Order: sequence, then C-alpha cells, then structure tokens
Amino acid sequence: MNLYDINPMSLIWGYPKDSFYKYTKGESFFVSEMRPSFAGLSICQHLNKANTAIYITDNMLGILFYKNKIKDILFFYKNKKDNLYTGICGSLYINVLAKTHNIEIKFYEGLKNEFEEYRKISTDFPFINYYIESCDESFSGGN
Amino acid sequence: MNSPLAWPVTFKNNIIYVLDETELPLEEKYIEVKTLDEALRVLGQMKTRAFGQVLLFFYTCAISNKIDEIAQEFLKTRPTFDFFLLSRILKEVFEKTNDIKSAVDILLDNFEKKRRNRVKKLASILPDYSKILTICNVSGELVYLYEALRDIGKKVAFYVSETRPYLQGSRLTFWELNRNNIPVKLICDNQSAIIMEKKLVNCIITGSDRSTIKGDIINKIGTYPLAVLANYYNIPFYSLVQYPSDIDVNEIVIEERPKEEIFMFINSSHIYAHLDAIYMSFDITPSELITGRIDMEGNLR
Repeated sequence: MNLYDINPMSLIWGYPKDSFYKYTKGESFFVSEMRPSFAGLSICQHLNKANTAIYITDNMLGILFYKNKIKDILFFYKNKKDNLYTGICGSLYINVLAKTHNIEIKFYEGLKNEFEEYRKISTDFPFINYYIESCDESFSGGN
Repeated sequence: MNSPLAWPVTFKNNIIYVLDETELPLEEKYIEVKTLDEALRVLGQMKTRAFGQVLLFFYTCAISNKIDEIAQEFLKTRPTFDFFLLSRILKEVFEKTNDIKSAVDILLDNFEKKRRNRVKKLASILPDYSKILTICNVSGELVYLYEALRDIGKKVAFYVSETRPYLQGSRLTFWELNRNNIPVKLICDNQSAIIMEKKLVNCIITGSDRSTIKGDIINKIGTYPLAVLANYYNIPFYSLVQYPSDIDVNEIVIEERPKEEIFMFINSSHIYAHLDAIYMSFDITPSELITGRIDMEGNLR
C-alpha cells in the first residue's frame, strides 16, 4: 500500500464506544497506534471486521497532515468539563497538529474505562504508563 | 565519554565492520561485510543508517573500486538518501589521489573533528540550561554536544522521543546518553506536545538525512510534527545537516518500508500481520519551521 494512492480519510483518536462500530460499517479510517497503550491495535481488530482500517504509528501523523490525507479527526474523549476535554496520552499532540493544519476535530464521548473494556478483546500487550491530557474547545475550529 | 554510534562502521584489511544497530542495546555486535551484496543487505535490513550508511558507502566504494555504480545500487536500497552527492564528493578527492581507498581516508580524516566543531557552534547558541528534545539518533553527536555544553558551563538535560517503529530513540539515543551518565528521559512520540506545553524543553535538535539549499530537511518520520509543535509553542528548532543540495524537497522520494516492520517491536507481532498499515520512513520539514541548520563545515544558517 502506498501513501500516495490513499484518499483522505478520518482518523480515529481515543477509545470509541461499541456503538461506533455498529454505525460505521464499511467506512475507512486511519487508526493511530496511540502509545503507550497501543489502543490502535485493539481498535483495528474491531474495525477490520467491517471497515477499512489503516494502521499508522503516532509519529507518522505529521506526514499524513502534510500530504492532506486526513479528512477530519474523530476524537473520543474520556471526560468533558465545561470547555475542557480530557483524552488519552497524546491527545494534545493530535489536537495541535489538527489545529495547525486546519483540520476539523469532531468530539465524541469515548469509553470511560478503556483498559477494562479493551482487555476483553486484546490481552497480549502491556500497558506501560497512562497519562491523561487536556485540550480545550478552541481546538475544534477546523474548516 | 564515547558512543559506538559516533563511528558505527569501520574498515580494516579490506573488511568492513558494521555495528548492528538493530541488536542494540542488548548486544554490541559487528557484521563483517566483504562484498557489495553484503553491504546492500545490511543497508536494506537497517543494520546501519544515518552516518553509518555514509561510512558504509565510502568503504564499499573502496572495496569495490567503483563509485557511481555503488551509489546507484545504494540508492535502489535506500531511495531517500542522496548517495550520488556522496559519490560526487568522493570523486572530487579521487581526482587528486587516483586511488579510491586513499580518497576515502582523506575524506574521513577530518569528519570527527568537523562534527565536534559544529556541535561546539551549536552549544554556543543554546540556553544556559538546555532542555533538549530529540528524535531518532544523531550518530553520537549528542554525546559530543553534551561535552561541548558542559565545557562552557551550561547545564543540559535530554528528552528522547522513542521513534516508532524501529525505536531508534529508545534503543540508540537513550542508550548512548544513559551509558555516559548524561541526564535523559524517554517519551512516547505523541508526548512531545505535552512536554512542550509544560515547558519541560526549551529547544529541539534533530539530524537530517537530506537537506536543501533553500533550508528544507528530510529526516526520520516524526521530525515534521516536532517542528510544527515547536513553532506552535515558540521553541527553537535546530537541525544538524550534512551536505545541502539544490533540489526541490518535494521531488525527493520518501522511502516506504514493508508494513510488517511496523509491528516488529511489539510482542506477539504475528497476531497483527493481517492488519493494513503504511510505513513512511521519513517526513519533510519546510525551512520556515526551522530556526537554524548547522552543516558539516559548522555554518549556521
């Protein structure tokens, strides 16, 4: 698969709820690795049943933005309080990159306790550390 | 203080010895290379890269007694790096010596001195307490930089981005700094924004595999987002470049490597072999995001 042959797609960040998979059958997504938890591996396994999912490492996000391959960000937050969203490790990274490339961020409520939920479908990789990062609504500007 | 990564490929009795960087930090092992085919194999398998592939190119020219043909073969294996530029540099010296081995000796004789000199230049413009974020591995030059900063009384701490999927940040840079007792912390690639926001770093320093006269660089995947974030948080971004060339950066081929390599440093990686993935090895950082570039001659632009 070559980057230049891929049409712009949505990028998934964070842990979607189960209902997300039901309503997005047949759609295509970039799925970032989301270190250190490797959340992307679990999400790809879910998505691959009925979707096209292209897995990338987090440091490849830059070139995807640079080459206009990211249509929008589906950001699954952990908590929302006033105008502040908290998400998994790297949430600020993805939000600043989206903002600086003028890409729309769509905020959705994600799983609250993703470790427990995802342990059911994938148990073979270690969770090393866990950080929560915050970003405010100013990031959702987009197009 | 030393790092085997500062000179990872050596040449003795017509045999090239290549430090196998894929085995680090667990084992310091050298691969013997006696033919062009063997050289291409270690190059393709990422056993060496960056300054190592420069040395491997020159020494392979020496054992093969050819220059342009070697550049052509190396380019097929690693298409982003400018081996024809190295070829031109080597031929300039060869015209005076008429012997490739002597030309290689002359060319490499000053390399270490030049690399030490340029980090001294960089050290002189960095803050008194330099909190440096870096990615991938700059072939031993960050150890030199630490010494240069220390010698002029500046404090320093490094943050190293792990650099997925080959983890050169974790396996090489973190290792070489840590073994020299240099203060260093390891972060996931996606944590660079949060440490910039919290002002834990005050400058970014990277290497570069290619650079243009205009000032753009091509470097390990993940460099471009660091430059974007640094610009957003108003943090200076410096790059140690090799030989800038007069080319449009967008004409340079960005190497795409096999998707299986994305999963190779993950436990039970075979489970994920069926997943679709892409692996771009490098990204492009435009000049407007770069505060300064320091070339091999120590020129800061």
